Amino acid sequence: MYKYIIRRLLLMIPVLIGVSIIIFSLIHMAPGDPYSAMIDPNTPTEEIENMLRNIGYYDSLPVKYTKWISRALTGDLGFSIRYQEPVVNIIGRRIGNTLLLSVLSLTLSVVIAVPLGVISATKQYSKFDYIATIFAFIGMSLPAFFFALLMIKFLAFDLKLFPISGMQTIGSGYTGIRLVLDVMHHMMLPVIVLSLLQMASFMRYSRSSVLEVFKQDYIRTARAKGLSERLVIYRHALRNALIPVITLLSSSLGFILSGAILTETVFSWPGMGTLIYQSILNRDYPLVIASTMLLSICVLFANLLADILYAVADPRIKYN
Amino acid sequence: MKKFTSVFLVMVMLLTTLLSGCGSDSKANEAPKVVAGESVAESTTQNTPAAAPTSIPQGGTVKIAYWNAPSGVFAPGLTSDSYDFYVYSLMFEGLMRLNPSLELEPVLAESYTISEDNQTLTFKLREDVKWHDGVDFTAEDVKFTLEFLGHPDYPGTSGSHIAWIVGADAYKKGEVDHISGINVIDPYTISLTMTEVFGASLQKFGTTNMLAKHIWENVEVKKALEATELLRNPVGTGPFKMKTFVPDQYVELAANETYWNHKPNLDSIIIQVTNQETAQAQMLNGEIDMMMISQMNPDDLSLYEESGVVVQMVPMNSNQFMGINNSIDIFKDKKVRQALAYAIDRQSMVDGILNGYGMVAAGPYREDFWAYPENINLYELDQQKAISLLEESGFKYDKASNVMSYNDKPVKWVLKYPTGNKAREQAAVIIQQNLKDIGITIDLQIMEFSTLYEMVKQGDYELYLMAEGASTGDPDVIRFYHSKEIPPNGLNIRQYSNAEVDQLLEEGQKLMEVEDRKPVYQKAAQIINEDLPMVYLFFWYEGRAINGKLMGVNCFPGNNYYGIEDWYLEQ
Repeated sequence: MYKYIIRRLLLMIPVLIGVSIIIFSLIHMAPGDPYSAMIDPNTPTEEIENMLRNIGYYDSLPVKYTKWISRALTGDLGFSIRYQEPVVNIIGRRIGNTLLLSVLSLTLSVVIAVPLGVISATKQYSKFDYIATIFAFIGMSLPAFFFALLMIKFLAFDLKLFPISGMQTIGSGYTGIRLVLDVMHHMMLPVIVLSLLQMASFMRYSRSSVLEVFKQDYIRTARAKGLSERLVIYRHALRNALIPVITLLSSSLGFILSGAILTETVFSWPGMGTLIYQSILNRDYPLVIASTMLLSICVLFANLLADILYAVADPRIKYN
Repeated sequence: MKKFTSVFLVMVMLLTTLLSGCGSDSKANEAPKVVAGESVAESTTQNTPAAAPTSIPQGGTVKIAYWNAPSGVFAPGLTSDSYDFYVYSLMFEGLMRLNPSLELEPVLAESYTISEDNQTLTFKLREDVKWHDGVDFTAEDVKFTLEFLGHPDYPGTSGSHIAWIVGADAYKKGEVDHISGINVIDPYTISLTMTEVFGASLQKFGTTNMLAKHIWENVEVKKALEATELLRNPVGTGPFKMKTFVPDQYVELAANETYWNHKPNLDSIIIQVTNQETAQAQMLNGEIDMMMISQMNPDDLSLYEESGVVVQMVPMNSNQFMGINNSIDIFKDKKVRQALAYAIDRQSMVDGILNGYGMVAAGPYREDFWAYPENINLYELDQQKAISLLEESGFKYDKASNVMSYNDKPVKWVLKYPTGNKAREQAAVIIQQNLKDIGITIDLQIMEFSTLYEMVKQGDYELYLMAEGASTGDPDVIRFYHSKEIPPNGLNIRQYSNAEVDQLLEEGQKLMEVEDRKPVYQKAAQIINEDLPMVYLFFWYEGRAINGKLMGVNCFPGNNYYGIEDWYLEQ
């Protein structure tokens, strides 16, 4: 197992190099330059060319890539063009905010949705199952953006339970425990939106995979030999039914940094999603590349984690 | 296999991110035009108090919302981001500024004189101005700022006007240590001598925001943009000074107790990031006190009115237009370009898309600007005229099947336009419909702003939509119409070329007085109106929603904060 993990980790290196070449080429081949969207159109063309030359815009793609990778290997991810600040600082400032939202909402949705899915599978065609299914379909078909606006309308604007946007009460100067409470208050709406939407698919997946397992011969055998329904479900069915849920969970983990982009946008949450979106629009090359690389590392690790968890959940799966 | 899957996954992810860039709305593209936005404005000033109150309420915080976070480069001449501008313009000032009627008025200068030959400007500075750190503001700061902008290593884009000063050229080449045309006469008097008469000199040099010499002289000019600490803790002379900057979230500014005019009535100003879609709810809830609105929806406007929110209309000097590629043979014929204008119903765009908050455009200038010519063709909707003009140019129109053809082929053109501005996106559809009425098929291609801008600069288009305008109160449009400004050298993206216009625009740059410039620019505008290198669609208004209790606000193009030291919150 450990050998397998080490081999997978080593394999990531060539994959990441390949990914970096693709990302690098794609973003640099996109038309436009970092200044076309933000500079006053009355600026003389020569001055813009001068600034572009300073950031190495006119170098050929291989030259740009060599420059970037040789610095990246020493840990220098470059200087953001828009923020005039090291890329590492900007990402460092944002990544925590995003993790706060996405880890909490992912945990919440798994903890709530998986048991709900199992229950509605065991009580198939009951009232509980129908209600849960209806809610799941609503959750799956509602666009995040629209759902967030609805929440704002009812919970924030009409009932005034939560603030509409932002991460803290601006200008309040809160510190310590009051700051923590304030941030939690601001987090509520985005977390509700994110976890309700994620819950829907977790619930459907666990329900259908439990139902699938119920049809297997070994379940019939288990029932035939007189095991209690409880034991049948929790010892035999559930464990086997977990595999598709693990797949879903690990793909959600892979997108843990970028998955909340719409929610972050609606609530003006200063996270990674909005950062990546803005930096692509601004052609802020160093920032785009660093953050997309980070996302791909996330995806790679999530894949590895999924494979390991498969082995944990299902003893038939072995790596050597 | 796994390896391939991962690479594939990442590509898909990246693609999704790129694609999502086309869907949603970013106002970043529009903002620079607002900053450069301008012209003679008759701003509505509903918020000015009717009678001067005996005692003005002091204190309070005003929250202003924008759609993007400032990047943190708070220094004039160094920032290229309009969201930074919205912050630093509260902390920095120039020698002069434009007032609501877009005339220059003194700020850090007390007075100015222009020499007989119109080539030397002399500014007499106020003697009671202090930088935020208590150091006196003097003529040395002015000299330092101008030399900073003219320095060979200067890393920004606001220095082009320095080239007009005597000796700026040698300084830019690094041959001399100072610009010889800048002359500090005494600590509070400075004169600038130009190489030749420069029509916009008072405006360009007057409105250049000042940098503090004692702060910036210790920084290598080349590395100015890397001086993060200084950029985030700016020292200016303006009515507000930096208190807290929380990147990606907000900036808090505190009143400058020693402001030369008087201490501002308000205690602090907060500039925060908000989502455009939720801002209205926050405005109505009283969470924010001021924001920009770009869509004047009558329902929204009445909702604001009911909730006691005042909306000020700001007429923009930029216009939306449909650019025509004048280098393509078929568009070299001006009758074809004129026919397009006759075929497009621009009045219905103003009425339908802008809800009447705008005006039909027929040239680079607004109707109420002095450079607007007297005899101008408005190209009012006339499909028959459009068809007959096209037929004169060799097109054939088959009425029965409603097909316009050229060289026996049905006419089909591609119209490219950027995402972001909703009014413009709607205009594209109206254009398609209008041209279909005269048998022309238009293929609409919407794309992200930067991509489109790069394409049109390279001449890779037939028709495109964008916005453009001259600088505040100055009719100079040489960058957009002179034949030497055809890309890659300039912004004459339509590749329009007319020797008479070239000559008039060059002449206009060298005249000082409005009376002298008026006939020159009117003539140029008239020729442009006749040649019609592009179809001008409309000028638009922007709104500023303001808390009804916030008094003294007077927004006009290019400045939302005029006289902010006099703003106050009614109890």
